[in-house]
Amino acid sequence: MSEGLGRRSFLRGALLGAGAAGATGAVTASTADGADGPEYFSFHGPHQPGVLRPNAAQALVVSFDVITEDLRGLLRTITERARFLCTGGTPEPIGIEDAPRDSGVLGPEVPADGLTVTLAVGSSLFDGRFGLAARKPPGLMPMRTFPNDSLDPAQCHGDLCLTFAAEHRDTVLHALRDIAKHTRGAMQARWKMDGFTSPSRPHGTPRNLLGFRDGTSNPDAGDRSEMDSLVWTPGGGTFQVVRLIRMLVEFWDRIDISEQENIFGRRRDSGAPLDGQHEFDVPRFAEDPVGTAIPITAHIRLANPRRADTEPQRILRRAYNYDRGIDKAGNLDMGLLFTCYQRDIRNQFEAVQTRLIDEPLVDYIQPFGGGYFFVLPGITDQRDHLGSALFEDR
Amino acid sequence: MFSRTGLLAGITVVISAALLFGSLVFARQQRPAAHEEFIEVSRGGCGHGPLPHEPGPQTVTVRNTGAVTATVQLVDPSSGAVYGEVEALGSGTSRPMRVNLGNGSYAFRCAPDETRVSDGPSFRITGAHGPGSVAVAPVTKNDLLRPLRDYKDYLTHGLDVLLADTQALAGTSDRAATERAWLTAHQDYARLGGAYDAFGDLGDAIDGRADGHQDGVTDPEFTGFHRVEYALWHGKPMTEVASWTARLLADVRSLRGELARMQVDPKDFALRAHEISEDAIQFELTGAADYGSGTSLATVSANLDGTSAVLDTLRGVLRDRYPGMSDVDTWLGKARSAVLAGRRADGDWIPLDALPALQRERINATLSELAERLAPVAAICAPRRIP
Repeated sequence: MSEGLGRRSFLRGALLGAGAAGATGAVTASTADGADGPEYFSFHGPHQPGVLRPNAAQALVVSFDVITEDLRGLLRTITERARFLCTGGTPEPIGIEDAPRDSGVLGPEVPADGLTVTLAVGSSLFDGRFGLAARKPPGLMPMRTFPNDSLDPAQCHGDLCLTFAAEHRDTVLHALRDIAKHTRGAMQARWKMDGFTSPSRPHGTPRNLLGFRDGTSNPDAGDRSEMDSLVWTPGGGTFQVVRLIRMLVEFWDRIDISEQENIFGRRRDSGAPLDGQHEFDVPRFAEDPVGTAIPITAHIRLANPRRADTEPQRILRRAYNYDRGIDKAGNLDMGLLFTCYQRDIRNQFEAVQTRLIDEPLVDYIQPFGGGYFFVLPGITDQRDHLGSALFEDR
Repeated sequence: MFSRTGLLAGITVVISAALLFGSLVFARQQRPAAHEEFIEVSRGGCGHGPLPHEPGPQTVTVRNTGAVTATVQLVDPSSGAVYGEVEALGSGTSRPMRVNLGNGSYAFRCAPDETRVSDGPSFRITGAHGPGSVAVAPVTKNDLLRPLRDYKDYLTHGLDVLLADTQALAGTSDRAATERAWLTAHQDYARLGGAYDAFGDLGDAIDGRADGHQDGVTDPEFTGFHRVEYALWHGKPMTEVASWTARLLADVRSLRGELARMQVDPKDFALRAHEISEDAIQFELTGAADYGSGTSLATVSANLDGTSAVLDTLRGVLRDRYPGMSDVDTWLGKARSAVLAGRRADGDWIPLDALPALQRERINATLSELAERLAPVAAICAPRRIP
C-alpha cells in the first residue's frame, strides 16, 4: 500500500489488512456520509498511536520547558488529559465551586474527532534536574545546526514536545488549551507551530506550499516489519525530528517551471519523477548516472537515492503546511511544519539532511526552528502513564 | 448524551415533525412543552416534576414556569450547600442543569427575582459508587460585609501611604531621585489591587495606559504613573515631568477624597482576588504596561501583596468552602519567590526582557497557576440568595 492514497483509502486498506489495523490502532466507524473515517485512535497500545497515523487534516506541535520538580506528576497529568481528550466524553459537571473546567470549544460533549496527542521528550530533560541523566535514550541529542539553517534559539529544542493531530482545527486547539490549563504551573510553552494537510489535488499525495507533492516515497506505515526496522526502537519508542521551515514562496513563484521541477526532480502537476509518467513511478537513478533526466542535485535524488545502502536511512515523514502572517518585507510567512520519525536520528534524518546540504532548494527555504525528541513508548494500562519506564528500576 | 447516530436520528425526528406541522419554527417552539420532562421553577411549584432517582452524572431540565426571571439551584436541604446552579432562567424558558449525583439528600431551590427564595420537595439518592458533584455553602451579601469593611480599611491605609509617597514624588526635581520616588509610589498603587476598572475614571487617570487614546503616548489624556514614567525614561525635560507628577498628585488626592463615598459592589469584590493576578499577567508579564522603567516585576510584586490582602479578608468565608486554599497559599509563595528572584542584590528590578528565558517562564508559570487556583474564589464568593 502506498502513502499517496489518502486518508480514507489508508483506513479502508487498514481494515482489510489486520496487520495494518493493529499497527495504527485506528478504530473506525461508519460516519453519516457512509465513508470510513477515524472515530478515535485507541489510546493504549505498544506505541503511541500518533506516530503511524496518516497525516491528519490539522496538526499542532508545541514544545514545552518543564518548570515543576515533580516531573512524574506532570507526565501523569498529561497522560490523563490526553486519554480523556483522545477518547472523548462528557466533562465533569461543575457546580458553584469553580469556573467550568472545559473550554466548551467543542460543545458540551467532547468528540474524539480522530485526535492523537503524542508526547515526546527532548535531551534537555535528561540534564541534572530530575535525576534522569542515566536514563537518556541512546541517540537522543540536541538538534544540530546544519549549514543552511537560520535557527532562532527561542523556536528550537524544549524539554517536552506535544504533537496534536485531528480532523479539525478546533479539536487540536481545544486539546492544547485543556492540557495547558491542567499543567499551567508545571510547564510553559516554549514555541508552537500549527499546520494543516492540503486536500489531494486533484488526487494523490497532498501538496506543500511550493505546489509540489510531499511524502510520495514514504515507507508504508501499514507494513509492520518495515516500521520495526525503520521507525520503532526496541522498547516501542521512536525518535521525532521537528523542523520549522519557512518557504520563500514569492521568490519561488518567480522562477520558471523547469527550474522548479529540476530542483525537486518531479513534475509539479502530476508528481511523477522526471523520468516517469505517474506519481508512484519509481525513479531509475541507476540508469541515469549523470543526471540527464533527473539532475544529480535534485531533492528526491539526494533525499532518497534508492540504493541498497540508503534503504535503512529512510524516514517516516509527516509534514504539514503552516501559514502564519507576514514578515517585515511584506512577504508571506508560510512553509513546512516538518516532522519525521525514525529509530536513529544520526543514521537516518541526519544522513539524509547531510546529503541535502547546499542542494539547489536551499535558496527558497529557511529552516528556523524545531528540535530532536524521543517519542515515549505506548502504555497498555489505564493506571499507567507515559514515561513511567523512565522512573523504574533505579 | 447522544451517540453520533442517536443525534442524527434525533435530527431526523425533528425534521419529520417540522414537515408534519408544516413549519420548523412551529416544531421548535412546541418541542420542549410537548416532549420534554422538566423540573418546575416558580414561586408556587418549585422543584415539582420528575425528580432524579438514579445516581451518577445526568442532565436535569429546569423550566421557569413563573412570570419573572429566576435562579435555580440543586441544594442539600439540610445544609443549604449548592451542588448545581442555573442562573437567570428567563420566564418560559428551559435549560439543562448538569449534575453528578452521589449518595445524599437533595432539593431544588428557586430564587425568582424580587421574590422569596423557596425549596422544593427533597429527595434521596442511594446506591452511588463514587462521589458526586461538590457541594459548596452559598456566600450571601451579608457574609461579604466584614471582608468588604476589612478591604476598605486596607484601602484607606494604602491610599494614605500612596498620597504621602506621591507628594514626595511631586517634590523631587533630580531625575534619578524622581525615578526612585516614582517606583515607590507606583508600587503603593499596584498594592491597592485596583484591577479591572475598580477605581473607575480616576483609576484610568492614575494608572491607565496609552492604549485607547487617539494620539497614544503623546495624547494629552494619557496621564498618571505611566505618563510620568514615559517622560522620565525617555529623557523629557524635568519641567514636563513635573507637570505630569502635579496632575498625578491631584488625581491621587481626589481618589483619597472619594474613598469615603466609594461603594464596592460585593459582586465585584468577589472577583477582585483573581482579577489582580489576571491584570498582572495581561499587562505586566507581557511588558505592555512598561513605558520605559523596566520595573514590571516591581509592579507584579506589589500586585501579589494586593492579592494576598484581598484573600486575607476572605479567609473566614473561604475556610469551609474552598479546600484548595492551602494550594493558593503555596502558589502565592512560589509566585512571590519567582518574582523576587528577578531583583538584583542592590535592589534594582531586572527588566523582563533581560531575564534568562527559563526564569521568565518560571514567573509566567507560577503567576498563571496562581490565577487558575484563584478562579474558584470568584465562583464561590459570588453572592447568592438564600431562604
